[in-house]
Amino acid sequence: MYRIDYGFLLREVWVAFTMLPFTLMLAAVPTLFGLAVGALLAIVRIQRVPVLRSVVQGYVVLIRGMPTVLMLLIVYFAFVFGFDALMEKLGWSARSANIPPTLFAMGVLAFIATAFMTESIRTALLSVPKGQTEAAQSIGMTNFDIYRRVVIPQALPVAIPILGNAFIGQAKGTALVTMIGVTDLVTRVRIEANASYRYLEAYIAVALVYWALCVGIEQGVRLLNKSVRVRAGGV
Amino acid sequence: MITLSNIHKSFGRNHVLKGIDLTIRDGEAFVIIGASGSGKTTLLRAINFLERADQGEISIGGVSVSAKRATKKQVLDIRRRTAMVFQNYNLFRNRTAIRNVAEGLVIVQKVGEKEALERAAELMAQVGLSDKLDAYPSQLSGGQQQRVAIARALALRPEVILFDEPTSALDPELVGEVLGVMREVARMGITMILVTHEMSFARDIASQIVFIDDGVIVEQGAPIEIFRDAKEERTRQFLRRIMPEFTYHI
Repeated sequence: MYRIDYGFLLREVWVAFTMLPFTLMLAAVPTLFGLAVGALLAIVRIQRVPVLRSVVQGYVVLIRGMPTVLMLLIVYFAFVFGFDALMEKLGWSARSANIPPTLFAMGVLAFIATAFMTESIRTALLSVPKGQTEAAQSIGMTNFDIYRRVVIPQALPVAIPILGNAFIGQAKGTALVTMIGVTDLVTRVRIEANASYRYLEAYIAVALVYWALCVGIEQGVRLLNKSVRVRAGGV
Repeated sequence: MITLSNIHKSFGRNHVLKGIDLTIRDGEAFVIIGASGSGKTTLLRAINFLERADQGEISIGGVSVSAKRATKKQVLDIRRRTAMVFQNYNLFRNRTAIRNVAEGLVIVQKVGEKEALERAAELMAQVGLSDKLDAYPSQLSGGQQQRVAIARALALRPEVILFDEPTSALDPELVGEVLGVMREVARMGITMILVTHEMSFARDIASQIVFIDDGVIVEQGAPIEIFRDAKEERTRQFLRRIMPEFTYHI
């Protein structure tokens, strides 16, 4: 019968834990990028900017309908081959191999995060009843003020739980970067398991750390939500 | 003075307004009546560009704009000369009652915070809600919300206030308090354009009544001319349907 080596498990929890800041960065940077760009893209869709809105819609549908792992691999290989071919043609010396995998992974994750954030923000903005906008228009507010004073404050309490979920998804998605050669907590722990064949313990350790990370994010979102709700006043 | 000329509006294949011409003089309480779907609400919303008419001209206080070609700036200008009271109140849900009233003053008219709040408090007193300054809309009854909405419109000192069926969403026992405030507004000599189904109220306060049916003006005149001596059969039919008791009382 298989006996779990708790000592090893604990040690690996610690190893995985020391990699947490890196994972948090892999999750947070793309999410923040996605928030900023996603907000713009959501407004492009809501304001029905011609042509651009169709491009955005296509992008969102494409990304949301594809597993992150495939996205990561496809973009990785397409980029590696395409980039090198292009550089060769131009006669430049830059090669994809010289791009740090971490940077590359963050780029792809940001590309994915933006699609999810666009949809989340759009949903939240659309949850504000039309009458609220009309009232603001009727007193002669500019579009900018309507968003700033009426729509965004009311959309925030709706947005935060949705964005929180998206952020958790994003955090869990980082476990895949090991596939394109980034050394994250999964890679680190697996390296150690290679020596002892204690894969089960190793992966349980990683799972525990991810679980703690997600619970932490969830609590943070809950606190944030509470304070926003208070300031939004009874909405 | 407000003039609308040749206003047309279609929603898809549905031709809702078929060339409306109206002149509303300053200080008038101008009432628009008509069956549901006759286009009266659309007409009201076309005035402040909540619906953009397909054709025609809108002029308010000397500023004249083409409905179809009005620029963003012109639309803003028209909206700043008007205010609207909605059927569903549409108070800003994230602001207290007094902040709702002050919002337009601070953000649109750039009045200082302190002065805006003072003026808002005065208006809240005028609509009888001095004890509800810090209540959120969700804590107010429909009638109270609508009175705040009227105060919000008054705060801007617009050239005209557009009322879009302001009592239609209210419980019957709350209609009176809102009509009371509106009567006060009419007495203050503020120009108002009112779409309503409250016929007896219209008869009381209106200086002019216009009856719209199927996107055209059927008849226009003083209340007595419309309610007692309507010339058009369509008008008489509408009035009989909406207030059958009326035919017996006169």
